[in-house]
Amino acid sequence: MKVPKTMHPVAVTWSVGALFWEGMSLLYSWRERWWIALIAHVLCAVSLGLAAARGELVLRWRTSASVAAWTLCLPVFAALGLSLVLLPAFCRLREEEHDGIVEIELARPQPVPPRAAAGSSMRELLAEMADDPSQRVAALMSLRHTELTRAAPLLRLALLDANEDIRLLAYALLERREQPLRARIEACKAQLTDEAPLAFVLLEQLCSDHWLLAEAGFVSGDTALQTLLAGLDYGERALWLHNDAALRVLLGKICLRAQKPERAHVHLKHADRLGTAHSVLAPLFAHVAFLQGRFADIGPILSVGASARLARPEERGARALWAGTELV
Amino acid sequence: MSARPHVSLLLEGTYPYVRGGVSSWVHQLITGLPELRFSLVFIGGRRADYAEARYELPENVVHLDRLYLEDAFAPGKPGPARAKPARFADAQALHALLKLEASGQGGRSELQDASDRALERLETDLGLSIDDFLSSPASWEQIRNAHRERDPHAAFVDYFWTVRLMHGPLFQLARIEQRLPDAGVFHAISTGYAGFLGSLLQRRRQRPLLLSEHGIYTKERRIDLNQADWFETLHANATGPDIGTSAGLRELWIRHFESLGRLTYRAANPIISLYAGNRERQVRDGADPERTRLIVNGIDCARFAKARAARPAQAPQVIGLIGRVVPIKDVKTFIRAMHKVIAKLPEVEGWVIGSPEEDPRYGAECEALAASLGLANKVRFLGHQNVQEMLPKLGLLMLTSISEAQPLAILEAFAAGVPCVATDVGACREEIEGGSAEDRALGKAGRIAAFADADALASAAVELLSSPEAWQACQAAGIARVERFYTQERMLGAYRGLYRKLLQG
Repeated sequence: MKVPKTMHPVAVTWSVGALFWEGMSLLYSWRERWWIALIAHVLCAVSLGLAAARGELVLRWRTSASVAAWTLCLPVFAALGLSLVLLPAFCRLREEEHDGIVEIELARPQPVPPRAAAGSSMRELLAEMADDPSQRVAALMSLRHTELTRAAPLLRLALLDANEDIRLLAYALLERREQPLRARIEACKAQLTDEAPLAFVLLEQLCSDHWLLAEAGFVSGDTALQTLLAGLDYGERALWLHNDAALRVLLGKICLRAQKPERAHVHLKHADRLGTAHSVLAPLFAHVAFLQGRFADIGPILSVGASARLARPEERGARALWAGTELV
Repeated sequence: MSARPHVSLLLEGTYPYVRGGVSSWVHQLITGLPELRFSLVFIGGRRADYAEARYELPENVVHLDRLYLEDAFAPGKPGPARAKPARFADAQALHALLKLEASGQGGRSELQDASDRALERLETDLGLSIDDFLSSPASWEQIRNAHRERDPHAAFVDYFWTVRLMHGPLFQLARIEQRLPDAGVFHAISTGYAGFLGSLLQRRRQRPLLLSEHGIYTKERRIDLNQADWFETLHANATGPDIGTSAGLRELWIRHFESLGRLTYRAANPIISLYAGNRERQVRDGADPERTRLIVNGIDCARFAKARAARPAQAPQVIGLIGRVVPIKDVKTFIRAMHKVIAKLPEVEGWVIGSPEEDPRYGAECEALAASLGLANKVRFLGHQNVQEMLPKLGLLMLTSISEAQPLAILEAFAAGVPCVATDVGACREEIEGGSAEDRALGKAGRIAAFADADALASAAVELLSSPEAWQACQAAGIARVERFYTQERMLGAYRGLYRKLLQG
């Protein structure tokens, strides 16, 4: 039987088309466009089917077994195509999982600081390590989250640094500490009310913030005294609303700083009656005695009721001096 | 006027939309050189902050372009960008070079070529585009690697958006550069974004770039960034702020502005500063010492003759601070110093003469501080005023800035016969005590105090206001100094000569 010459190129064209669609399917599976990949794969199967149909005409002169062989090829092609789609997809998924792990990489451990720096106080770092501005900058930056009353004197020390950048950094850090304090004072003043629970909270906050302004050195000289007296006034107004032990202690400190030992003594006695620990009150009573010139009382005040061993480190020297004992 | 401008001034956050020392200087330069045609390129952050021009433009300004960095990310639909490995390699080389220069190691030639290519081709068909930067996988990889290598302690999400935010304006400027009119000379008044635009113009147009720095831009940005509290809010939780992220991003921004500074210094020649201290600083920050020059500010002394003539015989008991009400002027220290002065001399008043518009929050804080110190009636906030009318009413000028270049306010006060107490920043000491031996021989025209030291400033003010002899000696020294060393003619002559030389090629 003579085969029409046009049959052969048509079958080849359908086969090439099938290959094209399978290629597209592969490409889109890489790009994770699963629907496009699936459609391309279906088109591949259709093209292949059509190629087989044409091939059947071509091969008509042969046995029907060859047609069956062509038909049987279809699922083989399909399986091959499916594996071409799925394999790279699985590989890609594994890669992504790997990337995810890298993404949450832990921070690298910090190098151990050199011995000289590790053993030095912040004050020494700022005042004496003048050769290395970067170390002074690091010391300043570490003060950003230090308690205000401890950080402020050190920042003020850095205002005298020879390096302008360090002076400016210290200034900026001080400004950032003072600004919210003053803003809070203004906000509390604006909210002041006669309603007892809220009024107590606001007055206590105002007292504490005025104390902080003076203690951190944001005000000095006459201004400091004026600020302390304002704080004292707010605190004593708060006491009318609620007799609070912590507030009594704070007022005692304010009076001592404002050189008013008698008034401080009254507040501290009240704090004592309200159950404040002796370890808290003893240094303050000693300060009262000192300002009143009762120097002989200082030793007994500091030694009563508390072991020198339990005293705070910065108080041990004072205890030893006034009690006439050995420094532990 | 259709002819090409002689000079294109590149201005960031200043003239003609903001009042202040730099703006006054720019206005003085343009009006003082009427034979030259100027074009102005103004770069601002937000359009809303620069709504109204504060100066009437002189006739020799032939063009004004306004660019706002808030437009850097024009709304558009993001889409995937094709990878362009060679272009990203050039950008990587530029970053590597900047990193090497920052560590003081200098640049390697192969990095230099690639870096130049990255800048010259930025936002052109051959170079990286904003779409490549925002949407390509290569950009993502580059940011991720930079985070791992340099700032691993910062949260990646914040790092990623910070990098996008800081680079967006650079692409914007590279696009805008292509539509700016040409000029004989490009003159940037700062590094930063204006300086970056200048460096692009210099490379692409092959025109000279002149840089005049009044303050040091990088230093001022460092102050701003150190004072900014928004870093602390990033990833803050119940246990407090995320210190790694806030410190890392703060450093990232500082490095960014330092890099812009180095790119500008590399392109500019000459590099002008106002006093020796800033010149040293420029060299430390990467400027070639051979290119640096010093041109001091000068003022039109004749303009202040009337103010001097209008002065009363005795010093008025008024201390003035002339300057914008912004943190860098440290108005709070002025208020604290006034509290101490008034405690000793109750008749004295303090006047804050300057606009609070630039930072209204800071202005409100200053007024609240004055009120809390009981000075509401003694310290007056007068806003912007005509300086020539105010100076005869002042007995003393007090400048409490934490950072300055060479303040014109001091020179103007001297010309009007007002002595000055200032902090020891910038060229204040040179202006008050004299620079050269010949200058120092004229005597002190006021007093210098450490910055943020309200006690020292107050003591100096009390000393001068309570001693007519000392005050008069300072007045005489100030007048002699400004008329001899700080005249406008000197300054304009220097710039006229520079422009002429650069225009002749």
